[in-house]
Amino acid sequence: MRKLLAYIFLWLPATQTITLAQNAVSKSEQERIISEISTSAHSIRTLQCKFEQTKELSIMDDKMVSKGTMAFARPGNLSWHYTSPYDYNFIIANDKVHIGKGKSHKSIDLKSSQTFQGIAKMIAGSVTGKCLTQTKDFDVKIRANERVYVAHLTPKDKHFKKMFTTIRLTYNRANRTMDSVEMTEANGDVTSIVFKEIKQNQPLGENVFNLD
Amino acid sequence: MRMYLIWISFLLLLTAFPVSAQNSYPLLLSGGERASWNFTLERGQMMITGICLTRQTEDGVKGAVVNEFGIHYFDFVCHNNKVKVNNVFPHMNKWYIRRVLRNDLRLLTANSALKPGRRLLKACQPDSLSLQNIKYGITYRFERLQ
Repeated sequence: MRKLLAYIFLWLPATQTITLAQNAVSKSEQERIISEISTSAHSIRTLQCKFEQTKELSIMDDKMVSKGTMAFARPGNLSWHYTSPYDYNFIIANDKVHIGKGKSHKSIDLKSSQTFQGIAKMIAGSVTGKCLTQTKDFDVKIRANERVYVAHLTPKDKHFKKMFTTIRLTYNRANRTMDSVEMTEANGDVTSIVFKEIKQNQPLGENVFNLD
Repeated sequence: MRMYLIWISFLLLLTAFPVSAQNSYPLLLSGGERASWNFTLERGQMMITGICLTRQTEDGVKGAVVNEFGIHYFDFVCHNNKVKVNNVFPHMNKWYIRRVLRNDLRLLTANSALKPGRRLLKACQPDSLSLQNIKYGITYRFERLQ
């Protein structure tokens, strides 16, 4: 009972705040915003940042917080490196997926794995804004306030739907980079990733997309 | 008569200190109230890795296994030596997979006996352990995250 009351008093005002803070936009305004984000994303040749990922686990009444670094280079090279509390590397480069955890490494041909193709498409699409125009994969609704654009993506693919009911991308209006990603699973658990110290079009290290 | 009494005494001595037919393997409980583990599940060429979080409850343990990106594989609750597996990742959500997970996790979270030839507990340390399901060729590995 106490938990229910806590949810009512804490959650309802929070949702009201979210509703008031971002307003739905008209269809034409949505198209304008998507075009603005895509144009800006098109100018990104490289991207580096730190991220903090928070995974809510309802069964544990707890959160799992992970930190790491991300690097992206057009057209689709990606390095996603968790540094704390575990060491895990996920690299997409030259049509291959390289996964490294501790001392073990594995490489998979991207063309032979639909799952990894989906992941690569999702991540690259979020960074470049391309996922906002992939209307055959997602229903897209944009909300906006003075500071951010928030894109709510609802998957159309039935397999993807079983994993995620909604994906929320928040773009900073000032520099049009992605501030955060929030993925809501079918069981209600939420994974949110906040990006920090974003550097655009800076030279990347030579071995950023190597596991060695 | 004397031999008879000696046998009786011997039998009484045995019952005073019963040799348990069961091995206690509440290994995930050794993590304390809460623990995080590097998790690996291997079967043949297939391998999944992730993080397992466990938490002691009043009468058992509960846990969740997610991959490094936070995608949920499954969660489990051990209560009164019975294990339930819930919220299983869609591609793994088959009754026969849930049954195997349930039975294997029971060995790690409850007082349960290992049936000879079916499962093998290897490398049993406070900070790492490995369980092999011989029948289905599955190996689970847990390494405590610092």
